[in-house]
Amino acid sequence: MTDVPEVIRIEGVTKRFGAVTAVDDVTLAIREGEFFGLLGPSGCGKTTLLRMLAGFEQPDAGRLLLDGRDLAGVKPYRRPVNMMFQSYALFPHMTVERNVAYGLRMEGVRKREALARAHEALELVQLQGLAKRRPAQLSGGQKQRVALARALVKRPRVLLLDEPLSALDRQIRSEMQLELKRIQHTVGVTFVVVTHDQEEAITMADRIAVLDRGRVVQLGDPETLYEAPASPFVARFLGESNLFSGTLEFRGDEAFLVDREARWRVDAQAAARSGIAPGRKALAVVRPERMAMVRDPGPGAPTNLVSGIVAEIVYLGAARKVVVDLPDGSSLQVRLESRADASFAPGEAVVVGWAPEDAALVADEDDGAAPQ
Amino acid sequence: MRSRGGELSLGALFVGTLAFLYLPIAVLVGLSFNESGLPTAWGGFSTRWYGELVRDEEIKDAALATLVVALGATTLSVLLGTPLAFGLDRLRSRTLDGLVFVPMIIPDIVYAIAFLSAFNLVFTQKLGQQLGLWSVVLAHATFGIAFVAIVVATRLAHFDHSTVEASLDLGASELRTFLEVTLPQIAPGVIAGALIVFTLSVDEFVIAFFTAGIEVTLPIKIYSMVRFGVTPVVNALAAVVLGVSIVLVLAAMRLRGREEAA
Amino acid sequence: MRRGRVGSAALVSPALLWWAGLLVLPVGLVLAYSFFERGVYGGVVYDWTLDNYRRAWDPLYLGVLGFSVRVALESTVVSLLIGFPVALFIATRPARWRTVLLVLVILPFWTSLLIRTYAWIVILNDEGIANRALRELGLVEGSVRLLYNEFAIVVGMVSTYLPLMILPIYAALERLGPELVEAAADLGANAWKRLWTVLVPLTLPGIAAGCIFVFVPSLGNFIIPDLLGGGRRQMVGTLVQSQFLEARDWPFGATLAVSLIAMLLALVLMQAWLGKRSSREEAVTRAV
Repeated sequence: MTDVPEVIRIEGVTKRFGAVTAVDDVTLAIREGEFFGLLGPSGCGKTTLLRMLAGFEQPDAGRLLLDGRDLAGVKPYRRPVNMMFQSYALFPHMTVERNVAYGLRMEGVRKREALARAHEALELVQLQGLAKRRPAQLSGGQKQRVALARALVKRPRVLLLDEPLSALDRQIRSEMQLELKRIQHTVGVTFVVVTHDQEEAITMADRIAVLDRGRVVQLGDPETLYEAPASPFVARFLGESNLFSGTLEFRGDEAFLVDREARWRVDAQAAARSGIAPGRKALAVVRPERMAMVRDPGPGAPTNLVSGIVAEIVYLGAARKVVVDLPDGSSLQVRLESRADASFAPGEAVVVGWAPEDAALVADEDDGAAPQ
Repeated sequence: MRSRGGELSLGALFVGTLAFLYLPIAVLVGLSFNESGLPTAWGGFSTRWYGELVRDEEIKDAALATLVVALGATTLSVLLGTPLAFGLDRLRSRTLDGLVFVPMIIPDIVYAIAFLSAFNLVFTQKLGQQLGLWSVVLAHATFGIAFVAIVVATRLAHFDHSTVEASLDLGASELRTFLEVTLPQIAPGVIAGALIVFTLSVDEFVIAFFTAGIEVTLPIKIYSMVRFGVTPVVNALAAVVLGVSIVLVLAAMRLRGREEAA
Repeated sequence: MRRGRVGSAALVSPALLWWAGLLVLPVGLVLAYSFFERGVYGGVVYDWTLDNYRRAWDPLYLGVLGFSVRVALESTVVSLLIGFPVALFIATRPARWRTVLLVLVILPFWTSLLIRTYAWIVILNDEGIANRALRELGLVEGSVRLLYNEFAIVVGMVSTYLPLMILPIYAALERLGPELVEAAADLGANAWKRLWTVLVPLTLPGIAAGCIFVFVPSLGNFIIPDLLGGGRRQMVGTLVQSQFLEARDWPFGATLAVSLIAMLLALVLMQAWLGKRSSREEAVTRAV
């Protein structure tokens, strides 16, 4: 993958607003033709980063390079980069086709050709029939498609999408996730999408940078982020997880997280790879679908076991989510396939377990302030 | 639902209030078509007084003077009030926002004597320039600026500023963005503000009375007709002025109403 | 893309400079005149004096001031008594009707005050339609004096400024939204109680704003007392006018104007101090 050329290089970029550091020394490279996600909670600096790429904000430190060219001082209207705004920012006084043709006309393209290309772009987003409408006459999903066509018609080197799906309702949102992916594949333009929705990022992006308080905390493909989160923050932010804490200890060729009350066996090789020093606090991250739940632990039971009481069972269609209360007052989440044993009932005593190889190990240092 | 009796009495009060508010207008319009010209006796329907109105040279001159004043005051108000609204929208200062309302609440009699004092001191005494229509224009623009600024600022508050960024992003320079994106969206507010100032200026009497020197605007003409010998022509004139005001204000309201729909 | 304060200052400064020259300076001049002496043949003699203010305490002028305040108060109270139920009626209509009803109420406000005031002369004079209607109904014989008195002035004020009472109260009621509907829905035997315990307290800022809007312009009005008072009853506005144009005593006219501004300023500051500026702005914005 490393031989794919970079389109954008972000080098040590910092942006402050008054006393707040919105973006803090971020370095990233975005590759040609990829669908890149900037993921994080609100206020993590992802939108500021996007706006700096578009040229609406200037970095206080660091450089932004597009095809190796420094973007410092380049006006927004001189950057081969286009943006799809969260509010869509359609021009209310223009028809759909004039909205889409606007960017071409600004380049000096003749009206007739601009309109023809606008119609092509509208075809791409499947809105051919609505060319003469005004934005006020469109649904949310249609507006979104117009905004997309308007940005894409200019064939930008990079398309920036600011929370593109946040204004849509749930049904259309999941449809549009796949649609965006299809369109990106068709046009081959590099997409950089900002989102706070982990599911959206995982579904659409080839690679994701997770941001927290202005810093990139992890960069990788969706699977790596999910299976091997680099911090408790990433583990919590991407999907649901159960966390088991303790001090890392090696005994012979086995590794454990030791707590006052419990001792969790973890994968020794993974522990060694994680770089966490023995004696330091660490967390084992176990996804709900990797947890097992039984009434009676037999010989085939997983290594790490904990007993609890079933508090709640939520039917999700394809699966059931079971919340198990533990004696210490905390609770665990277990995800059971729908076809699996459905006879559990709230109030029942159960044993929940997990295998060492199903846990990802992360250091517990910065745990205190990480948001849920 | 609310009790029927309460509902009915509220409705009756509302109708009564409308009658009270429109009675003066209705009476003058009715009177203007009265052949006898007298409020006391109906002499049959006639457009006679409108005919006399059209032939009255003094009223024609006064109407022309009023038009000149209103156009001048409106132009100045738009030219100064529109940028002011943009500045207020950017600065977001509550003090400044509040300050814009001051010119709207000063009683017209205070304006009148303040302008008379200042114009007399500066123009008449120091520059030897007699007061005239130009001084009324300056006076009317002083409150007109506030009205335009407030109407345009309301429009700007509903304005989606990200359309400006979208335009820049799509390759339009700042100037083209202003001309193609900002101005067309703000224009209804500017026009509505202009219509309101125009209406206020056409109807304004007290300040004009003090600052017009020897010139006569329509309200001054009407005042003297009312004070010193009523002729029935004044009813026709009044009906025309009322009609013009109502049309202009309805147009302004319609333009402003659209922003909620958009 | 917020550009710097320099650009914004360039946008606001022409208008602010205009107001500095054509509002602050002229009003400042009036303030200065109020401390000077009157010339023998009118005009102003630039000698400092407090005589004008002493003279304003003369019972004759205090009486005019007191009468102005009384008329403004009466106009405010009458407007409130009519305006609140009217605003309530409009606010409880279906949404599509509200705008139309509101426009109907506001529209006369934007027509010529001078002309509407003249119309009241036609209506209220001894042979006017009001008197004829009263005679037809057999309520009076001969005619009642309706014109050139306090009654006529208050009628003129209310018919002019009533919309300014209705607007802010309507805005306050509308902001209550569903609470209003619920309150209205429950209005049964307890209608009055609900009105006093729910609607009135919750719309108090709107009521206060409406009262200021009616009181302030009523106090300084010139046309209405001039035409409907018939010169028999003076108010501050007509007194200022006569000092300037008839008595040619500018310093004393200025003193009266300054007193008027001081009263209005006190009221407006009180209103601002109550922190309800937003509702005032909203109402004025809605009116235009």
